[in-house]
Amino acid sequence: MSNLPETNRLRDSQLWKELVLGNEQALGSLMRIHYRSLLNYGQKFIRDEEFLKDCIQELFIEIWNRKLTLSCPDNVKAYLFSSLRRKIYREVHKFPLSYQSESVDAEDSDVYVEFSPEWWLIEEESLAERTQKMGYLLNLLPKRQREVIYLKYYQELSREEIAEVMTISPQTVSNLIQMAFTNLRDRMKTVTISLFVFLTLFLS
Amino acid sequence: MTDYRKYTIEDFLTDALFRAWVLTGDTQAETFWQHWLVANPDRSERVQEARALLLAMAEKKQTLSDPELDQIVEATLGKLNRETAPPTARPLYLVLARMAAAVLLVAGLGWLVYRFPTADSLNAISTRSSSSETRVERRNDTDRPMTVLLGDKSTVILQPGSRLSFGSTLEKASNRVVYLDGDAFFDVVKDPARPFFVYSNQLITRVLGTSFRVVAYAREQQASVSVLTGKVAVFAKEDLEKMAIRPGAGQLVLLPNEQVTFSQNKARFTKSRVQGLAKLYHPPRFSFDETPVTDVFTALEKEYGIDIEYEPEKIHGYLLTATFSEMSLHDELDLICRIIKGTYHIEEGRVIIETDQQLPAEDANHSRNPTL
Repeated sequence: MSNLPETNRLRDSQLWKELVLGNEQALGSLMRIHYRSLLNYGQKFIRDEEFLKDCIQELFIEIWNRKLTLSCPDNVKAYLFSSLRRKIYREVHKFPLSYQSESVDAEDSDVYVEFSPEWWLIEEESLAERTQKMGYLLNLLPKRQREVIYLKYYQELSREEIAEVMTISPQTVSNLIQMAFTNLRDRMKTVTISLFVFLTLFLS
Repeated sequence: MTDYRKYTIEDFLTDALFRAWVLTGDTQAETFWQHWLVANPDRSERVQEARALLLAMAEKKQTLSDPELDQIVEATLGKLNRETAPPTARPLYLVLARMAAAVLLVAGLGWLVYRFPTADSLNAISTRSSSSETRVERRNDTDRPMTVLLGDKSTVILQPGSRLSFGSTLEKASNRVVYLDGDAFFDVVKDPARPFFVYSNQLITRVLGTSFRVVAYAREQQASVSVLTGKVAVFAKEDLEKMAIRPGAGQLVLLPNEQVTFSQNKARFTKSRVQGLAKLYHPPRFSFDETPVTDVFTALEKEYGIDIEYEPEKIHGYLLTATFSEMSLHDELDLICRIIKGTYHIEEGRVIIETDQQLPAEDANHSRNPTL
């Protein structure tokens, strides 16, 4: 793999140092760099977008207000992700009622990643079909496996970063990824077999 | 050299070249993988699985536009506690510099290149707070089709007795949404990050960039959507709830020359073939011979049923000799603006022509230092 993630990490650390010195444009830059990823991550477990945007804004304001007492995180991106995760969890439990009335996910206030591929916009028919199937299979995975897969392949976080975000050990991250793929492979087969059986029945 | 033959699905998912092909449609990466697949047909199944898996995870691309993000960042910085603070507003000189650059370039390019993107300068001019969003409504009370221009440069041809409404800052919203009561043809500018929705009484039509017709009168039980180019997704409004929980559920995908009819009492879709849409929405033809630009605008206004606002004294003296055929209204406006050294943008469905400076036509070449 290239060392691009390393470059990004150094850039983030540099910006963090500048913001500690009171440079608010550095805070703005960090926000510009990571806002979209944070928003996408948050959307995985919060449907109320305005509430989510407020959470992200508060997150950055809090960093600014506490800049002199916070130590520079090893990995700013992982720090932002885990802070947002904790923050949403806290906020949701602070106002359980208002949250439940507004959220579609009311029955499940935990972190809950759901994949929603826009397969119907894919021009190639067979690929669109496959993508739809994969989206379905991904959503059958247990919650934690799904989140690990999302953080690794969508957000492109490293094993160590994922461990920090989800507060588990790097080894557990590897295990979860492995389990997810074992699951996916088994299910891919099952889907193919059931389709095959169906066709055989149909043709006979 | 990487040995892709040994790659597992997991390996493909993290490979930069593979991701470039699948996620960004990078043409170099695409060429590479197409060749590789031809040379390694036994790996095709694995590659296709990995490709579908990556697409399934990629889901919709980020829905926040750059101006929206800027605004959020500015708003956050504005809330910080501090003693002294320099204002963080977008510097005016930058806007002016961009406009000047656009005008100079345009003047230099002249007639031939008529697809020059003026979008940058337009954005700079029309940047306003999206919180000042108001709804705009266009009704066609005439007996001829009427053209409605949207801020994102999409075009709508509204049939008599139809009505269309949309947010005044549609071009900056994360989802472009319009509401239709009646019969209209849409030519939507492609923007993968910001899908375009047509809401009507019974149906919701969703596209990225294509042209299609929607007939959906609020008073009628039946509605239909037909497609001229591109790909369109249609679903019944009552399925919207289901969509929120499982996107992709209960919708129908239409390809060119396909039509779907929905009848509310049966709550059912019927798909069929359709021809002749292209003829129905053929762009009008204009011929001008040393015609004053003001007269050209009048002709466009009449033909398309639109309002064009300009300051006649600023474009006095410009003459146009041209034939417009097979051109969209946006292309025509682009071309005229190039001649009068101006720009245009859409405000609440009206075309606003901006010329850089008040100058007699003879001196127009000296307009190197625009001051607004």
